[in-house]
Amino acid sequence: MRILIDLQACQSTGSRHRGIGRYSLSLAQAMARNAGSHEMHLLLNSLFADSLSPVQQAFDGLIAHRHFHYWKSPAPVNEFDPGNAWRVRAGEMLREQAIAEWQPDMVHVSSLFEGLTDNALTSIGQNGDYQPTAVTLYDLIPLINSAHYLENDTVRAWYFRKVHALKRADLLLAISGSSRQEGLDWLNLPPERIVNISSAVDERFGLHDYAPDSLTEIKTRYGLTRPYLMYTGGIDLRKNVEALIRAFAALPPTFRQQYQLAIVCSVQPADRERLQSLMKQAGLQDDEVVLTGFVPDEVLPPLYHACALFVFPSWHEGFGLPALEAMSCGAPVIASNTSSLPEVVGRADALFNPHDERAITEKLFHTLSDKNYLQSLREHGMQQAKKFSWDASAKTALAAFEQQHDLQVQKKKVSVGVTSDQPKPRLAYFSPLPPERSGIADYSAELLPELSAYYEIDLIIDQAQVSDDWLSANFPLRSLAWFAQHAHRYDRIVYNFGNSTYHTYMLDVLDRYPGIVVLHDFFLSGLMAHLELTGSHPQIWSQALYRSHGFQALLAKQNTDDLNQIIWAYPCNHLVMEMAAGMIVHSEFSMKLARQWYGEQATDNWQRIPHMRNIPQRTDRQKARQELGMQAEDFLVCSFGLMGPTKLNHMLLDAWLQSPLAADPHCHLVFVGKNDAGEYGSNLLKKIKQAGLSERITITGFADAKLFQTYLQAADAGVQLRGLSRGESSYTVLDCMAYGLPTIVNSNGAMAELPEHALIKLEEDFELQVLAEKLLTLRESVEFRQQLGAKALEHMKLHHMPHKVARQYFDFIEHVYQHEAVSQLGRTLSGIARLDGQPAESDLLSLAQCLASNQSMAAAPRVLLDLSEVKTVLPAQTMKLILTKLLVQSPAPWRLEPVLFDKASWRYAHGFACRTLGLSPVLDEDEVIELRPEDVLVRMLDANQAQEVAPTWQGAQLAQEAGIRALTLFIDVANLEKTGGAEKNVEMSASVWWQQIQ
Amino acid sequence: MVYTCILFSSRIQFTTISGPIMNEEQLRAELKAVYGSVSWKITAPLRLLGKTFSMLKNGGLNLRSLLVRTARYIARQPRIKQLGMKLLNYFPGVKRRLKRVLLANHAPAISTADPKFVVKSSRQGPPSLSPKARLILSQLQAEMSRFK
Repeated sequence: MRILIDLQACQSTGSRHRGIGRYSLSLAQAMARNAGSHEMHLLLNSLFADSLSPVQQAFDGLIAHRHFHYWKSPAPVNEFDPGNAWRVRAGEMLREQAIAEWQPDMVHVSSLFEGLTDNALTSIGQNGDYQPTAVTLYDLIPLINSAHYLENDTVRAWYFRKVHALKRADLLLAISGSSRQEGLDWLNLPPERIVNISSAVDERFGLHDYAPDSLTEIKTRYGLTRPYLMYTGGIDLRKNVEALIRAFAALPPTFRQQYQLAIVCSVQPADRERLQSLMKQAGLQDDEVVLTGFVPDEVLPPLYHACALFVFPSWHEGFGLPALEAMSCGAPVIASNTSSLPEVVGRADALFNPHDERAITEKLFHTLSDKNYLQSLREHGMQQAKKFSWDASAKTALAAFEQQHDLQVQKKKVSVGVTSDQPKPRLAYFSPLPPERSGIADYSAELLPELSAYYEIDLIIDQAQVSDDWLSANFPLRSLAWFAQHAHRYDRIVYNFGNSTYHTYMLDVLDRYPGIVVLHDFFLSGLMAHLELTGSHPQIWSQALYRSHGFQALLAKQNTDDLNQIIWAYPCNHLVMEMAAGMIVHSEFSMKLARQWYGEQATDNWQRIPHMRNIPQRTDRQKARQELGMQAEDFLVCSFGLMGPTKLNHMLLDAWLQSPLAADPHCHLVFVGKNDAGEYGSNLLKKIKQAGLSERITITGFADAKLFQTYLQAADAGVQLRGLSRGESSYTVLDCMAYGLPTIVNSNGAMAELPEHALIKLEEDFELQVLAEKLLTLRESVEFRQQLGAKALEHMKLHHMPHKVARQYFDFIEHVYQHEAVSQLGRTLSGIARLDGQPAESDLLSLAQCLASNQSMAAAPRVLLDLSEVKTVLPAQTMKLILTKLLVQSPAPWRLEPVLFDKASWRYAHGFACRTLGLSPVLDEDEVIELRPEDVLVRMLDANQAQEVAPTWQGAQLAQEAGIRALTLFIDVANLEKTGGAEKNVEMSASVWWQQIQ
Repeated sequence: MVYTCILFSSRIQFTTISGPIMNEEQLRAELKAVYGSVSWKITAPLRLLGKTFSMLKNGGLNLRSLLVRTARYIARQPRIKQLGMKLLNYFPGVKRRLKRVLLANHAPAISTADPKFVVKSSRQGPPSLSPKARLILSQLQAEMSRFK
C-alpha cells in the first residue's frame, strides 16, 4: 500500500511548535519505522520554505528522498482574511490534485484544522471521492464548547468547514478512547470509521539518574525552594488552572506552606496579571505559587522527575500528554476524572472531579499526607506509561489503514462492471481504419465491435472512407474538426499511435486532450522525421528530439552524416509520454524501453494488454493446399509479412539451404509478403536462383488478405524471425498461432515474451544450424507438429480472443479515468471554474503555474546547469567546450539543461545554449522551467573569481522548495589550458563529474 | 542535500566535498582549502579509463568506417559471421553500434500521404508561464467561460 502523509502539521506556524506538530512528527516517524511492506510518502507544502529542511532531516534514513513530494499554491491563503476566500477554495482543489499526482492508496492528513492564520491548506474530497483519506482526530473541544471557542464569525466558519470535511474522511485516527467517543457522539459517525490509536511520549521523558546538584540548580533557576506540586499544559479556560490555585490555597496553611505550586508553561502578560490577583484574593504568599513562564524542552523531564506531585485538573483533553509525560518521568500523578484522563492515568483513586474545588483540595491533602500512597502512585505511573508507545500507535494506525484499504478494494470490485441502469461512457476512438494499409487499422477493426460492449464509441478519423462495413454501419465517423468543437461531449478518449503518417492527425489533439494512448510502436521517430524532412511540419522532429532527449540528441543530429542513424537511435515520443493519461502496450519489451529511456517510474501508468486475434472461422486446409498446388506429402513452411533485413529472411533462407530440406523435393519454403525493394531483396533472389531452387523457394510479393489466409491454412509450419526490434508489435506470429501452425520464432523484442510451450523459441541471436535442426524436426514428425499447433491454438483462445482483450481495455481505461492525475485534472479545473468569486488575473496565472509545477512527470533525470553567473564571464569558446563535453559525456538516461535566472523566473537557456553550441534553436523562446524530483540544480562558477561570488544564490531556495539536490561546479578558467590542453582537461573532468552526479 | 564542489582544472581533476549546503563564507573557505591542499584526490584509474574513451571518441569517424567495412565483409562470410555474432555477445556496446550502422539504410517505412491538419503550438500564452502551465491556463479559462 502506498501511504501519503500530509505533514503540514509539522510545517504550519499554527501547529509546528505545538503539541499537534510534535504528535504528527512522532507518529509519522513511527509509521515510517513500522511501515513493513508499505511505501511511505510525505507531502509537504513549499510555502513553508523554512520548515522543509527540518522535516527532511527528521525523516533522514526513514523515508527515501524521492518519496518526499512538494506542492505549492498561490498565496496568501489564510482563511482569517475573507479576501482569500477564492484562493483558499481553489488551493484546496489544487492540493487534492497534487495528491492525485502520487496516487496514494491512503492519504493521512496529520491535522485537518489548519490554515486559519497561515498558508496551510487542508480538505477532503472537494474534487470527488477519489482519495481514501484518514485524519488524526485530536479532539472536538471547539465544537463541544462553541460558545467559548467559536465566538468569532470567521473562525466559526473556518471550523465548521473543517468539521464538514472531517465527516467526509474514510477513517479517523482518534488519539484517545475519549476523543473517539467525541467523534462518535458529535459527528454521528459509525463506530468502524474511528479507531483509537492513542498517543505516547518522546523518549526523553523517561527515568534518568539526575545528579542532585543539577536538580537543585534547575529548581533554583525557577525559584523552587521547597517540595513542589507541578502543573504544565498551558493556560486556557478548560485547563482549570484557576481552580487548582484556589484548591491549593484552601489547604491548611501550615501544611500548605511546606510546598510550592509550580505552573510550568508560558504565560501571557494578561493571564499572569489575572492569576496573580487571584492568588492574592486566595490569601497566598508570593512565593507559594510560581509561574515559571516558558521553559525549554530539556528542563521539563527533570522538573517532572523532581516534583512532589503532578496535578492535572483539566476538564477536557484530547489525550492529556503532560500526565503521561509526568508518569514516564516517575512523578506521582493525580488528574481529573473527565474526558481522556481516566484512560491515561489508569487508576480510579488517582482521579478527582475537576468541577469541585473541595474535592481537589481533599485529594491534594490526602495524597500529600500519605507517603505510601505517593509511592504507590509513582510505581503505578511508571507501569502505566509502558502501555503507551509510538510504535504501538503507528501499528494500530497502519492496521486500520490496511483494513480500510481492503474495504476500498472490495467496494471497487463491486462497482466496476457494466450495469444496465447507467449509460455507457462516450468514447472518442482515434485510429486509422481499413482500407488504410496499416496493421493498426486491422487491429482497430477487430477490437471495436467488442469494445462497444462497454462504450458508446465515435470514430475520429482522417481518411476519406472506411471500407469495413461493420464499422461504418455501427459507429459515427467524425472528422478531427468536428471533434475539436465537441470534445467536451466525450467521457473517454483513446488514441492509437504508431510510427506512420496515418497518425499525424492525432498529434495536435493529444497535446490538448489527454487520453489513453495505445502505443503500437515505441519509436515515433520515423513519423517525426518524415514530417520534418518533407517540410509539412517544419522542425517537428528537431523539437521532438530536443523535448524527448535534450541537446545531446540535437548535437548528434547535427554531427551525423546519416540521418537514419538518428531516426534509429532516438524514439522521439515525448508527446505521448507526457500527455498519455494511461498507456496501453502489447509487450513487456516496450515497457522496458520506456524505463530505459525515461527512468524507472516511466511505466507506472502503463498496462500491457496482449495482442488479439480472432480464431479463424472454419478452415479448409485441403482446398487451400489444392489452390496452391501442394500435394498431400508436401511439407510447406511459410514466413509471413513484409520482408527486410530486420525480419532476418536471409537467415531463414541460409538455414534452409544448409538443411536436408533443400534437397528434399517435397519441401517448400514460401515468403508470403512483399520483398525488400533494395539490395537486400535482390540478394535473396540471387541466392535462391544460384541454389537452383526457384521452384521450391518462392516469394509471393504483396499478398492480399485472401492469399495471406490461404497460405496460413495450407502451411505445415511458420517461421517468424526478427532482428533489432524497437518495440513494434508483431501480428504475424499470432496469425500463425491462431491458425494452429507449429511456429518457430527467435527471442527478439516482444517475441521473447511468447510462451515456451506453445511454439519453438530460438535464442535471439540463434545459430543457423539450430534453425536448420528445428526445421528438420518439424519435417520429420507430424505428431509433434500437431501437438505444437494445438497448444498454440489453445494459448490464443485463452489470452488473445478479442472479447477478452476488450474487457482488459475497459478495466484499464476505467481505472485510469478514476485514478490517474492527468484525467483528474479535468475535474479539478472544472471544479475551480465553478467557484464563486472573481479571481484576479495574477491568481489565475499563478494557479496555472502551480498546477503545472505540482504535476508528477516520469522523465529522465536532469542536470540543470545554472549559467547565470558565468554567462558573461567565460569566453565563448570555453563555454562551448564545457557544454559540449558535458553533453557528449552525459550517461544515459541523464540529460543536461542549461538554465538562467532572469529577473523573477528560472528559464531554460535555450537560445544561449544553441548559440554557444552552434545549433539553430528549435524553440522560439526560453521557456519557464518546471522541476522534477530527480533533477539536480548545479551552480556554475568561475573558480578564479570566486572572491566576487554573490553571497546569495537564488538556486538554493529554488532547490529547497522543490526538494532537489543543489551543487556547485567551479570552472578553473585560468588553468584550463595548462598540461594537456583545454580539450583534454575538460573532457576528463566532465567524465569524472558525471560519475559524481550519478 | 549534498554540496559538491568540483573543479574543472588542469591541475588535478576534481575534489568532492560533501555536507550540508554552505553559506558564502564556508564556500570560500572550502575553495581555499581545495586550492591550498596538496592531497587532492588523484584519480588515476578514472583518468586512464577516460583516456581510452577519448581515444575511441577521437577516432570515432575512422572507427565507424572501419566497423562498416569489417561488418560488410563479415556479412558476406557466413562462417565468420556466426563466429562474429558469438564474439559480439561479449561486447554488447559494439554489437548495438554495429547493428545500428548496418541497418542505417532501413528506416521504418512511412506512407507519403500529405497530412491535412497542421500542428500548431497549442501552448501559447503569458510569457511568465511554462508551456504546460499555459495549456492548463487555457483549459481553465475554457472551463470558466463554460460556467459563466
